[in-house]
Amino acid sequence: MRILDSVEHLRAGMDYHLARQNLLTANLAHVDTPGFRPMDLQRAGAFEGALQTALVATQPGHIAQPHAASGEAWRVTQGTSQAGGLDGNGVNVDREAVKIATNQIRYDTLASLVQNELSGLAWAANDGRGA
Amino acid sequence: MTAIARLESTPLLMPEMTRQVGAVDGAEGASAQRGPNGTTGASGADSIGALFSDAIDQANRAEFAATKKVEALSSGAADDLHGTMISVKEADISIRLVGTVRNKILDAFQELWRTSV
Amino acid sequence: MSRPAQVSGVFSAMEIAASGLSAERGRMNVIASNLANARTTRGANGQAYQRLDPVFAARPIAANSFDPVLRSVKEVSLAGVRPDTTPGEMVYDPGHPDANPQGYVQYPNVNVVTEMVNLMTASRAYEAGVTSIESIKAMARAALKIGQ
Repeated sequence: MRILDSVEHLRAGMDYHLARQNLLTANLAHVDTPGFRPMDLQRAGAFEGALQTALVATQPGHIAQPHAASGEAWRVTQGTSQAGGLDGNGVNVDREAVKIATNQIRYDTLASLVQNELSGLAWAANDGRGA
Repeated sequence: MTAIARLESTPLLMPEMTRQVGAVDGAEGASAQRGPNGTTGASGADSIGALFSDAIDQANRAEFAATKKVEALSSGAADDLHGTMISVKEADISIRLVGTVRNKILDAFQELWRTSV
Repeated sequence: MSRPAQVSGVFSAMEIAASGLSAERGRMNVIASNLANARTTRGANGQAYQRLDPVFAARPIAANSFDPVLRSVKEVSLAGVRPDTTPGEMVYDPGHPDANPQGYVQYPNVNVVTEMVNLMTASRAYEAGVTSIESIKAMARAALKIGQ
């Protein structure tokens, strides 16, 4: 059993939140793009009940399905709500900014938990004395 | 694999060490523990052993609860930030308590072994 | 998280604050429209511009949550705009292209001072929303410190 197996699911979670941060930041960057719909990243367990359109790369260089290194299924979803404004842009700046903030909080939480777990392992590796 | 399992260095000798340390501790403590009725406290072996196994039980339970909460939070199923953090810290402290008690038993046993030879 | 909050925690509070920011931003857009058209005597419908008022509505965020607090709290949404039918002032100006047969021009019912006050109120409300989001973030950071 590898030492780092105990933080594997935490690491996978951090992968997911980092990838999602990329998508959400891109949403903010496209606040003035005509016809743009905000995107989000769903992971396994959150698919049921959500209306989604799977992204397929039809040309090289376009965004294809992202995937986790651990093999967990992720899906890029695109908002289908009615777009506002004359240019058809559907990005709500305030909601995207809050999503970015909450995503960061979750990432920080997982990082803190990883630190906790690893320091406990280091202490045990030192036979419970010091460290 | 729990932290307890990682900590155990001499699992076979632990009960014997605990018994010997507890016997000495009980003999010393019995004379001081005579209550107003003239009764002695619990025998030393029981108290050290009981303390140790209580600490292990508590650490196991705390670690189990913390693991469940951490998995819920990291998979996105739960939103409980401070509850998870408190559980994790509680489990961490419980495990370190087991380590401290085990180290004290080990040190006490080594002290005994030196003096009794 | 990419799914809605299910307990009244840090993330639900931030979503509610975000709805407030969004609503105030919508209100500022409406005010900007009023200010820009304060002297528009002929709109697309041939009439003078009628000032608009935003209409806010409260919307529950998780009506069937097991958490009683989350069941009760509501976020705000900009449900629409309502034209203000108060007549504006009539100014006697027979040479004006939009003058009526009596020589009076109908001006919009926009009071620039009132709109500026509304704009400042909306701006302060937006700042208050940002402050509450910052304080929620500080609470989350404090929770993380427990694990340090």
